[in-house]
Amino acid sequence: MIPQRIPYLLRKKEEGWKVFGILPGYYPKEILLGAEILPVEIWDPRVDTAFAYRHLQHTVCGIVKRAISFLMALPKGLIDGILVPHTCDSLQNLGTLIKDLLPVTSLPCIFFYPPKGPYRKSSFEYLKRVLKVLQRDLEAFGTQAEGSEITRWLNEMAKVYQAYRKLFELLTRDLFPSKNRALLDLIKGFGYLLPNDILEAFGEISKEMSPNKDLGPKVFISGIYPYEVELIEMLDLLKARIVAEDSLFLTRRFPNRTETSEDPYEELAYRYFSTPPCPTRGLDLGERADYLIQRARSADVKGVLFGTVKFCEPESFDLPTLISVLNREGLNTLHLEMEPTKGMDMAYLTRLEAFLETL
Amino acid sequence: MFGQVRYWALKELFIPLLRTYEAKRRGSRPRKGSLPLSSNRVLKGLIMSHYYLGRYAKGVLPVAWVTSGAPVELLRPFGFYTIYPENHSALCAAQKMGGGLCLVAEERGYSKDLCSYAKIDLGVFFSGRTPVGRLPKPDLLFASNNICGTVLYWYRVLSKEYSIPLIVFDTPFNYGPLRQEDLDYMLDQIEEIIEKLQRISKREFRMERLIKTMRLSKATCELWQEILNTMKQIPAPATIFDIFSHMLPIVSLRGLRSAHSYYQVLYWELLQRVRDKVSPLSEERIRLLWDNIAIWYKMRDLSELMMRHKANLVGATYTNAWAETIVHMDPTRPFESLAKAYSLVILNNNLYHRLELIRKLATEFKVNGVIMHSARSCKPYSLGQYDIKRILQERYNLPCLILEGDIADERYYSDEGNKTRIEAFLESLI
Ligand code: SF4
Ligand code: SF4
Repeated sequence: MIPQRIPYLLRKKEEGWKVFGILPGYYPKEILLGAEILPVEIWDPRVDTAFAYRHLQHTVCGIVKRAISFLMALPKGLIDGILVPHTCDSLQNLGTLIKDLLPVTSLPCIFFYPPKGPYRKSSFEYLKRVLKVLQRDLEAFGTQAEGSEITRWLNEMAKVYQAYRKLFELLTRDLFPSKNRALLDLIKGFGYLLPNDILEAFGEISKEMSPNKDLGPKVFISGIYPYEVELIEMLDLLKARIVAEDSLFLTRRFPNRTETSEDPYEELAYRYFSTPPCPTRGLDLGERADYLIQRARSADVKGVLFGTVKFCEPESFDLPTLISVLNREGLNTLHLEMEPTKGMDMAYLTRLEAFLETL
Repeated sequence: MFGQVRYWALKELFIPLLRTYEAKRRGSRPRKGSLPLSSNRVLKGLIMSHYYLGRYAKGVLPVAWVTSGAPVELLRPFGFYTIYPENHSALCAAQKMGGGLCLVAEERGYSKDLCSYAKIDLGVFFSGRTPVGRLPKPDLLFASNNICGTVLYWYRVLSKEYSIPLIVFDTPFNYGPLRQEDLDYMLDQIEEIIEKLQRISKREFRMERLIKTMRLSKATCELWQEILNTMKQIPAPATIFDIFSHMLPIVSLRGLRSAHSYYQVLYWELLQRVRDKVSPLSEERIRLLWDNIAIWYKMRDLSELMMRHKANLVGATYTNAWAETIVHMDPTRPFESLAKAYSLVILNNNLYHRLELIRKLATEFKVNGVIMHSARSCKPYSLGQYDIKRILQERYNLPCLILEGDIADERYYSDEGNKTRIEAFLESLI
């Protein structure tokens, strides 16, 4: 059973954890954990987004609209600070907006700028330096992460990555018994649970493991945040199974490392540079296409579902190229553009159904 | 060999003739009631020759496509012929080709919500349609994210399509003052970029050439600043629409002698107007500041509308962007000054900086209000405007109008709606 987000973070606060709201993107979770800060990622809070329109143009993506609405309506004391990773233009401006122009969010606001590709030697050196700057900023906030603590959390996070990888392996081998909806809870847990709680949830699931009898088409899902509940429920309705994923929310932040460095900052930097290609980090588009093909092959899927967020530039620029390369490789694709603030109608279901039939 | 002879013959013989001819020719239809600058003709010759020569540059010089905020001074010592796709997209938009070219990209699967500069450029790539005849294919792409992340996504597509290298100058966003760590990172990158440019151009880097380019660049930007300063006069000697259309040299020819020479001509003309108290308006009753990129396909209409109401847009945060950070440009410390001058630009700076900048410009240009173009294309320039407007009005009593539209795609501009709103705003200022 995955704990619910708000009761969970309230409990953690009682246990002495400070809680930081994290805007979407890559950030070094281990440094925060080492400073006894529980990072709670703000991707999909349930809020009324009408408020957002007073501050943002309608052409700003729904993730940012939800984030601002959530931050402006925050119950006092729920979170102790905000971390803004530099992910895209909209989040960049949202970060300075809430710090500089909207005093309502009087919470401490910390920024983190990971280097953008194509990577060079300077990117590596810079990342190590800004990781230390982040730690310095957290110290100013009254929390401190010792090197040994960061190393401990690096080890814990390595287990978490491993657990999720295993999960997708089970899904590929039809050994995960639950529906996509239950899978979604597990995936979302990555955004707010402590590593040991994630691992505990995985432990419970592994006890129930049995061959999945309800076999529908296998789907590989990709996008910045393709996890709108309605989409997942539609997939369940159509008996399709997510068996591989490529989202910024989850596996695009998973490092691919076999060695470990003793210096925690160096290790964090190596991990960052070993994560899969993502447009928000400016990596090569050809490499991204190759990566998706290789993932699709290893998961033995015939189709890739791109679930994008309307007005999301980083992802939208890549799609025409990716779709044409994947199609050339014999992989079917479907692009569903979602507007998180508006919900999904029957037209989506129809298109999804047609796509699944091709698989 | 033939290509080289042709290129140099064009450059040394034909282009000067073309420019002289253009300078003497009658200009295009002036805006109703406006007073066209005679420099316009010189500018036209300069633009034509830039794109015309570009057609023959391929194979003779390495060709680089560059973003408007990239430190182009680094390319000049290696002899790159530079093309600015953003500028070219603005040119297409001014010729009302924007929507059509965007559509070409949309038909190829590009979302209609993307930046229209990028979509126009992709539309040109797929259709080959351009008002300049032909663009030289690039050998290199050079981008900096100091204006937006969009250029990074867009240039990745170009890099894949053309199979050519992309060099990125990564400028960490300034949420506060410039940090030493960020400066060091940019200095390291400049060294890496130079190494890469040496390999691509097969030419040695010579520091004295960079310094010479930077001197020229600095002098040009300072001249640009002086040009903008003439607009502080009451009445102003021109309109912001005139100034917008004179931006190509500062954006695309920075670091080249031609840009500097051209702005001397423009500056003297404006200065003369100031001395003679010549204004494009019969009476300048309202002075305004513009925020964000121009609406390239609506320049004439907006200009005429303003004139009818005796209102003049005299300054803009956009035109100021090529002058604002020039104080950091010190050719005796070339790398450090490049890093500072390029990373502290308006779009790489926080919104508090933006707010203060607008206030400063509003005071210096003695304006009655601000028109903020909320550009569908440009998130980094537009997101935050609603709150800047609120603060300027509530705290500083500076009236503002938000104008929804787009920089280059005319399909996203509502003529009637915006006209009514502008008129109501102008009336409220009298
Ligand atoms: S969905 Fe896209 S545009 Fe929106 S916050 Fe995420 S990366 Fe940025
Ligand atoms: S218009 Fe805005 S988003 Fe488009 S290239 Fe220019 S700065 Fe970037």
